[in-house]
Amino acid sequence: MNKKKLVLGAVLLILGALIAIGPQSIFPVCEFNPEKAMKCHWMGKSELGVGAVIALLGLGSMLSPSAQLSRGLLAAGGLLGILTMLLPTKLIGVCMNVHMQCVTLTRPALLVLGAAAVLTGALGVWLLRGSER
Amino acid sequence: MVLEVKDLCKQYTRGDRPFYAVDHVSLTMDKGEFVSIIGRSGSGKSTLLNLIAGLLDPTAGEIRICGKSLTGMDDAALSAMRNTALGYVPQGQTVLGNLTVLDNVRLPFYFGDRTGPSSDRARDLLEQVGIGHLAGSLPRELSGGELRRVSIARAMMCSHDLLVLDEPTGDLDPRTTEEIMALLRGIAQSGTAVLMVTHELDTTGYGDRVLEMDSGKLSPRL
Amino acid sequence: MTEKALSNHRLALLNLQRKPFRTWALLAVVALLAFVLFGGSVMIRSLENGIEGLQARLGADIVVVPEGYDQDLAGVMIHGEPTYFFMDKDVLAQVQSCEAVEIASPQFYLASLNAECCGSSVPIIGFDPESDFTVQPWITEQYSKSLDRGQIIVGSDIVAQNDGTVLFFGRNYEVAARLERTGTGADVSCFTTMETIEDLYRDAREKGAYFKQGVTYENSISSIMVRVRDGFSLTQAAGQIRRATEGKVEIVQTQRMIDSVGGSLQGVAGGLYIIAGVFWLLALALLSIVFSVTANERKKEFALFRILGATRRRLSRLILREAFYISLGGGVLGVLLAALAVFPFSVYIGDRLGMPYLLPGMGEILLILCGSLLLSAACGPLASAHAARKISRAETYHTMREGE
Repeated sequence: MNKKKLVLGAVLLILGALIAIGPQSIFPVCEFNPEKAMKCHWMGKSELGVGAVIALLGLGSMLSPSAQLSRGLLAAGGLLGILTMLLPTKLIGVCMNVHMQCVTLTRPALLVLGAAAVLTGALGVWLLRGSER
Repeated sequence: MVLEVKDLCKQYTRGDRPFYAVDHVSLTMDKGEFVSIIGRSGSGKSTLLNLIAGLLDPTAGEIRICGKSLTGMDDAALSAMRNTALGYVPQGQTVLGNLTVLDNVRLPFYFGDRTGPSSDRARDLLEQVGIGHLAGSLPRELSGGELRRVSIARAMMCSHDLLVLDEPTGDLDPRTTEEIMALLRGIAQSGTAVLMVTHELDTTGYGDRVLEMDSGKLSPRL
Repeated sequence: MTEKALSNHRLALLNLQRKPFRTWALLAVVALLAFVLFGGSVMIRSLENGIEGLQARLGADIVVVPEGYDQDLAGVMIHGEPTYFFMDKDVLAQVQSCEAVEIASPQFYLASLNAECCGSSVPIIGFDPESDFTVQPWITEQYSKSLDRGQIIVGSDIVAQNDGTVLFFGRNYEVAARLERTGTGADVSCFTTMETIEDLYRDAREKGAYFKQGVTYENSISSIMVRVRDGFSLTQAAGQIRRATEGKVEIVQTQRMIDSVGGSLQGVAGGLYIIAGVFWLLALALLSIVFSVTANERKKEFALFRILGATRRRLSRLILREAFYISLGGGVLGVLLAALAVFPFSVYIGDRLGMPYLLPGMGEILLILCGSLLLSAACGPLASAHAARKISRAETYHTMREGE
């Protein structure tokens, strides 16, 4: 049993879960206004999808029988970490007002979590190099 | 003369009564000599070894190793003496679990503030004690007899004049005991003086001289 | 095969590796300490910075506002909360007539509409360029020309449209300059001259913004910034203004406003320093206990080192080094985590604290970083000093036997 892939997979699973549910609960985007839905709302929804996939990749890496498969899954999770960071900055963005919660709280939280996911993926690629099982 | 012990005493107080753990002991050893000291536990033989190794200060008397007196040596000088002149194999299992066998043997080299390569010498020693193939292993993979060989190799890493062993076969089975004794015999034949204390009678057959320790007094065994 | 020397460095690392749980637990303790030290210090300094910014930003000794609006003034100055409040323009002449008043400069406050500009309503502050002594001195740091009609200076957090204008009441205004961050309400405020305010006022009226009855641009002002003449005390000046205006206004002494914010800051700062101190002592105590317990467990190992020729000095250095690695590693870890909390979320923290909050400059942050690292890294060697002394003094013969 390879302990590294188990630990890294678990870390990725937690990061993915936080990315998915964070924008809706822990570090929420601005309140939803049906008359004038803001960018941050849709950004939060898309992170729900990205985070869920990252979490699944983490789970897969924990359960996978081969270290090389884990390595690939972790790498994919790391790449999705980049997407996590791009959504609130370049691809969708957040609200304009610098003091809105989605700017002060949700975006930095997603950046930190995304960076952590990238780091976890890179660590997985590095640590699991050459291991067969 | 490799070892000269003259009128050595170590006094302790038990309750209010002073008593001699080592009582006016004298002993000399030459190059290549193999001496066994036997005695019951509490007879003072471990105290004697610790005095010789400079780990304890004697109450009276003198110890000379390779001509140099231990009296008045400071910590640095005593440490250097232990590192270079005297190889000490303590009682029990003392191989460090977090170092490989090779690193265990190399360890004394670095306590003498030396630099440079040490692996070749350590490998030679492991070959000499018959476990060259285990150099890269961790101690937990080794048997009791193999661990004892590691301790012996380690004791000889930087010192070849005098090898001191405290009950080297205490927890080994008879066959392994015999192998270790054969090894020590060989080491003595190659020129190193070997001093060993034990309470097992059957191992004494390996010594050139067998001495008996009783209540701190050392006498030739009859 | 390259061989690594078995230096104290390597032996210490190997020992730490051998007990991963103990190592990580101790790392976590020191990391927590470093987190509190670094994060706490940065927060305290940011708050102090914010107060200093507020002081510089206010500039006036006394601010005269309509009766009952002193809290609103604080809201605008500290948090940038938009408000409307007006008083009769005659008050200006009354205030100017006081002997103790050196300069009295009027300001006119508007609030933008929610849907325009910045996603939420922001204060627009109009000043009189002739008499103004509070806004222009720090505007000139960014913008040295005088403002034309239709030009606006914006706070650091106001987002302009792509063409460099901001939209107020259906009309675009050119952004002439952007102010540096102050951590105060100025960051979300806009500043302009009275001429431009006139245009804004008319548009606001047209768009249906609510003004109290009788309030017009011509006969109203929101506040008067007062500089007290040398030789007069604030109390004297306030007394004179109260008499001249017959008590129909609120006279706000800005230093008191700052003190009321700064006073609570001192409580917070003191509390944080006490917590940091308690943490330091706790970490020290915890580490001391763990080090002396493990030193006891490892007596046999240390005795062996002595037997193999290690000097007492060498032994105590090995113990100190091991402890140092733990505390340094924990310190780096804690500072890193604190940095991840304090820097990306600085605006959020400031908003939640509801106090002026401005991160210190790079140099000062580095200074705090070094200090926090030093204090956490010192923790290990200090905590293990006793164990190191004891172990290296112990008679080897006894430690060898006790360890069995």
